[in-house]
Amino acid sequence: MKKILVVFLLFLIIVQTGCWDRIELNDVALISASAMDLEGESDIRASILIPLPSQLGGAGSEGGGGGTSGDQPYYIDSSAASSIRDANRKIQKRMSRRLTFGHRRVAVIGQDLAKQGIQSVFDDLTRSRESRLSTLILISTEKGRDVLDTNPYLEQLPSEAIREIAQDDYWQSLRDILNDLLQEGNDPIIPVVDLVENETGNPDIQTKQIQIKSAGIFKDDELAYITDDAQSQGVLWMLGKFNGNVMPTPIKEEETLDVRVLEQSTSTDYEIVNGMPKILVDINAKVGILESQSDLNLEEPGVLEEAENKINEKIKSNVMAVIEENKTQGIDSFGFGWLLYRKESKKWQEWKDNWREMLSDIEVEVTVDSQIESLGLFGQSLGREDE
Amino acid sequence: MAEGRNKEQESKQTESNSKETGQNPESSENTDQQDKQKKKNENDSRKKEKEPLRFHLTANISILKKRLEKSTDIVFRPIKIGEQNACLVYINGLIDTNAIEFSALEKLLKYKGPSLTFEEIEEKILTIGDVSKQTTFEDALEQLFDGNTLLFTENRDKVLVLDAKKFEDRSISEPDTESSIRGPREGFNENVGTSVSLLRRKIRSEKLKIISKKVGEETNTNIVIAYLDGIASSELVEEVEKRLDRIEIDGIFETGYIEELIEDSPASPFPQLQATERPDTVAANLLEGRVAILVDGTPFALLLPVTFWQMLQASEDYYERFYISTFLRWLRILFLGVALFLPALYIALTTFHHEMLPTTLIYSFAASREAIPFPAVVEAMIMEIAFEALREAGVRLPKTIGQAVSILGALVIGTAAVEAGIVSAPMVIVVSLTGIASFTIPRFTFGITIRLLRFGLMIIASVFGLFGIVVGIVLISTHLIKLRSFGIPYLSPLSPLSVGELKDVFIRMPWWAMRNRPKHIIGGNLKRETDEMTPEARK
Repeated sequence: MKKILVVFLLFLIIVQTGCWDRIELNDVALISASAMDLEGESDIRASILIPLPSQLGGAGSEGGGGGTSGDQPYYIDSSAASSIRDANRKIQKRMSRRLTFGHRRVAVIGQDLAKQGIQSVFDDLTRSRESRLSTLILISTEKGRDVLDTNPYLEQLPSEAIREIAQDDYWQSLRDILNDLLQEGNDPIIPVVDLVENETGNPDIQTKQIQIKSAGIFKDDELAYITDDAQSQGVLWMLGKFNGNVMPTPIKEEETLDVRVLEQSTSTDYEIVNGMPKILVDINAKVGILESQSDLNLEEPGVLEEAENKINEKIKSNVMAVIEENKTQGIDSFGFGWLLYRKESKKWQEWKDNWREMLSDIEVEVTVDSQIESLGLFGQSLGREDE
Repeated sequence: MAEGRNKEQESKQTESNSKETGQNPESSENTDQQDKQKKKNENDSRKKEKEPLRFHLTANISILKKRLEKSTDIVFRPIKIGEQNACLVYINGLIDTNAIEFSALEKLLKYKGPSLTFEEIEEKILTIGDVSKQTTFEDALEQLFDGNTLLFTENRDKVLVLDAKKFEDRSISEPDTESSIRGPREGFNENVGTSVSLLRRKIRSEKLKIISKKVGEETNTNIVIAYLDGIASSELVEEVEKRLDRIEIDGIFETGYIEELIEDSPASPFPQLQATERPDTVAANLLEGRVAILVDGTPFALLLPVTFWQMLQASEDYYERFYISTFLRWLRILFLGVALFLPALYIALTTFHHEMLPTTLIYSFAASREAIPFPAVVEAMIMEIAFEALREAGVRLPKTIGQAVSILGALVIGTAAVEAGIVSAPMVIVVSLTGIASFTIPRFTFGITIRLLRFGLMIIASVFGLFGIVVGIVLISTHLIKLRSFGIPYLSPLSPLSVGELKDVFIRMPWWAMRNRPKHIIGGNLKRETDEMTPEARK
């Protein structure tokens, strides 16, 4: 009898608690992306993107289909306040479901805010229990809210579109950026998302679409500049992320050879010359020909070598473009300082205080070795006569 | 009725005892002793005094007739053996009429001559194989109820028992609950004699020992303990006998009665004995040093001791190639987890830990849950209980209607409920997956245990989330670690770990590599096969 009483009392403990922090899926707003922009002088406008489950086309719900089917399957709202959380609190006041950041996969930071420093944004992104370190961070040239509000044609949600595009070659998660920020002699690089009109012939479906093609170079936590085309490619080469990308190479005047990079590796080393470090960058690439606009017969010896040299030159010039820009601004995006910190920790102690000033004097030697591994199905373009 | 009478007697006894203590004030020690004495008396009173047979035929018959009053199926057949009066007593329908007619009745009636002694009748007249003698009414009646025929003669205080039983029983057929693709198609039947004979046909060895017992005061059910001498540990056999002898109950109709009366932890939800209908399973287990208990009137035999892992093994594991057997074992372990945890996990993840699900998955969960009026736990309970009800209905109904019920259930619950927006589609998937998972467990009783524990886990998951599930896992595993079946740890050989014995737990080693019998069970004779059993290709 006593036993039964004990069991009953234990059962009561369970029942009395109720399900105190239970939230059903129908009561949460799963935020899939958020954006932070500068509002006025110092306020922050926080925007959130919430997918609408009823529009997502699951079983038992009406509607469905992708973004092409008229109704947007997501909802975007924003609010401005002195802090991100305060802005979110204001949004929450007009939301019937609780905002949940556990599934935020993308965070977009407007470039104005990024120029002021992203440290304040990162506090919000990392402090809460819900935050994911795998959230992708992007800088946007336009207002972050507008980036969220593009209507992608191939994905249901803009956040998905951003994520998929970013993952094509280069992305930075919150964790990567935190690493860069915390490492001595290393500055973060964050991909930049911008909006472009698609160039379809049908005016009905002409909208602004997301595009990621450049990188934001940071000095500590502040955005220094956004790379141009050549620099962007240089960034990818330096980071070893060029795999699978296509690179047009000028081979003669007005004649280009398009190559796909099949394999690529970049290694950085250093040597001490006259008490100063000299950085050695070694880039290896294996490429395949995709398209040739010239009448070169690549099967001839010498011609292939020449083409390889042209490719090497192109790569080197791209890489140097970003390295030179960095050197003049005293930015160490590729962790040269971090390399010295690891390998030459004693000397690093002397250098670290005026590392940024030193950077402009440091010599960076880039050697590129590329190999054309495949010509495609033929050496010389078909239909061209041998000379 | 009998119990009621006993209770009355007991109460009378206690009254008289208390009167005695009232008259002589004694120390508490003495009263304790008296209590013990009282209990002993009570127990003794349950054992009946045996009444010896009388010398005169008429006396014997009239006492017998009085005791067997209102039993029209019992036949008293007075005969004359020469000049001597005699009487055959038997039960209609339990005897082999042919044998009695031609081997006993005819011979006895045709005899003309002087009076015969029992020995002479047995040796010269009767042509029945098994003839014995009994001296008390109780023993004689026991034989009578077993289907034997009694022969009373004049001026003897003994009775001749002629063994000529014959009664209808089910023919040997494939067991429905444990069918196999490859393996014998025979199963035990309700006659314990037939079952033992099936066993004897599997193990033709002098080592196979069969001990008979009678259990059940009113039913006098035959129970057989089977084991292999020298392989089963003698302590185990003794322990089994001891626990069986302890049973004093009015009737035993199924092994389930015995199981609940002799297991180590009666409160545990886990089965601590294995019930099987397959003679090959029993024989194989006897070879591994286990003991079998067969009960008359049911095709099921009990095997003991058992381990947790045995519940996940089918007899077919040993007949198929070892790769597929090993794969199937892992599959069963995986689905054991599914059957136990999936609904609980679903509840915990969708109501507490949204961030633990992949993003796209939670979108589709959210999309399908959008129109559902119930919380996940209520939804899960509705579906799980509906599923259990469907299953139960399918089992009890005749096979033809059962099918209709399952189709109805699949349509109503599977499709209509989702379309009506009462239950979400993922929930239907979860429930049907758990349903399938619980049927992958080869031992039915174990499957029921898992299904019951699942509900507990669902409730605890709905209150505490994953934390609750972890607490549930801890509780269940502590219980399993503590649990023993006839002294053998339930989780052995994993806990306590003995690596050498793991040959037949997560993997099924090929037969040429299974050299030894399980060490933790058997009493001796470890070797199962010679060392060089690996087959070699002919060069």
